[in-house]
Amino acid sequence: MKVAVFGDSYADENIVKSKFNYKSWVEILREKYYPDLTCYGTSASSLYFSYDLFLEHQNKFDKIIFIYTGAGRITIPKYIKFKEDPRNSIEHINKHTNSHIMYHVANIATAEDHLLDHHNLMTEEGALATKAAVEYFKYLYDFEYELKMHNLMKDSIKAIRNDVVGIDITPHGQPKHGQPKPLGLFDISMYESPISIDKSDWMKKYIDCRTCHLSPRNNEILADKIFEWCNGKPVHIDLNDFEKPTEEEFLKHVRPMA
Amino acid sequence: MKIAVFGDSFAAPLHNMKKDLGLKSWIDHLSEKHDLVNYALEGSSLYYSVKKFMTMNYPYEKIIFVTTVPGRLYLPGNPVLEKYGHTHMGSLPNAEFVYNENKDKTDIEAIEIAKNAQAVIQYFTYIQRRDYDKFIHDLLIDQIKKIRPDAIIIPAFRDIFQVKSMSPCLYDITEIENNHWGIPVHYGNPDDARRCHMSKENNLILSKFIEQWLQGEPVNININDFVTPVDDKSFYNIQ
Repeated sequence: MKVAVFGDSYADENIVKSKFNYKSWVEILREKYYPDLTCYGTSASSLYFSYDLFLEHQNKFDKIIFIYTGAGRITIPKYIKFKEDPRNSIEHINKHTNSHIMYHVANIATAEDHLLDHHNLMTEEGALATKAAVEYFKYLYDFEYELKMHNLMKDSIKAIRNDVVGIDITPHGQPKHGQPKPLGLFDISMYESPISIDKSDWMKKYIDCRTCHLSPRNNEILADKIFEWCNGKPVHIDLNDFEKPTEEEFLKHVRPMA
Repeated sequence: MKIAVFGDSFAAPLHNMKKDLGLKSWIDHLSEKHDLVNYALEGSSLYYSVKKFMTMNYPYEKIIFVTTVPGRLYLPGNPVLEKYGHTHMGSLPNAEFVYNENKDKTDIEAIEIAKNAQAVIQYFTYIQRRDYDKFIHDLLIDQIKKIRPDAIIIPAFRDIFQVKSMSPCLYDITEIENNHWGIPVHYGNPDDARRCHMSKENNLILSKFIEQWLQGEPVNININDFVTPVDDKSFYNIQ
């Protein structure tokens, strides 16, 4: 069976590969269940970026797994050029050119990070575009609008491929009457953090280096879950199905900010 | 018939800053026969209209939707922009105009407006993607059709990805008039007194076609049905 995976860092099998060499759920799914699996997941990318890839490639595949990123990310247009750095000095070394990360702006912090920390990849027009992204998030960002567009895109994906296995990072919207709030992959990431570390705070203090933002064990569990969902079980995330790593294990895969 | 109209300046009521020459728009003609509520707003985006439509479409027997150009920005929620009528910044020239009007002023509100306008300028210059805007535009139109399959959808502008002859729109009527008077293609003059960017003759003709569409005939703009204006351009304050 030919399977394609679309999405952001939660579906990017190559993210921070050089640092911690453990397998993502994507690789596990390929090894255990679907040898003919192609991964289009790209760290920090917007839903429209993945949607565009989906439109281009979906008809080549028997099964589509779509990890829906959060609403409101920006993709800088391709005509804006960034530099390539032959030293590959950044961590995101993967199948893409190393300037590709500069096109994906998840939020104001990402844009500021690109301006401050990626001088090696920055061009004059790239800096102007990235600054424009900062200003966009500061002055123009309207979450209600972004969410509306996000949901229209998800509906469109489902209309094109009603067999899609769609998994939210952070499900938006209200739970159905009498039902608990649906969970997303982000909830598993947060569930992994130790009680001793304030959940709302640790992301500001640490860089998350977990492959697909999950522990090695939870990547394994998620791969098995996704296999079940590909075979007809409804997509549902229950934290009881996942394992909480020890504090020591968790801290192995995050790095204090400089 | 109880009708709601949504759209941009091609359907909007006379702006309070514009000189009233007593000319009737196609909306005014339809209002003489129908119980019509006009939600259209000059310079507004399709998202703005759809947002209004989502909350107000239900009590109406018919919906007329004039769909504007993709990619306009709507900036709700900022009281200063709302106070000064700058929540709709439809284009780079529009944002540049607002920025230039405010950039040298020193009061807090003008500074706020200038900062927002500058962010819009930067957005249109470096971030805007026409393919994305078109995609979103089409999804919004699909949503209108899904909610009200009977909605009369009239494009104000030509689809930039289509051949001109394949996609007649309301702007084509304006263009006939502009060509007749020798006005540049991208003419935009705030003093232009044409209602909904059309001469009085063409507003009347359009209203008659819309009347037919309201009775169930298929929506079809045939540009040959419209005329060159009888009056000189000076009649409409056009230099």
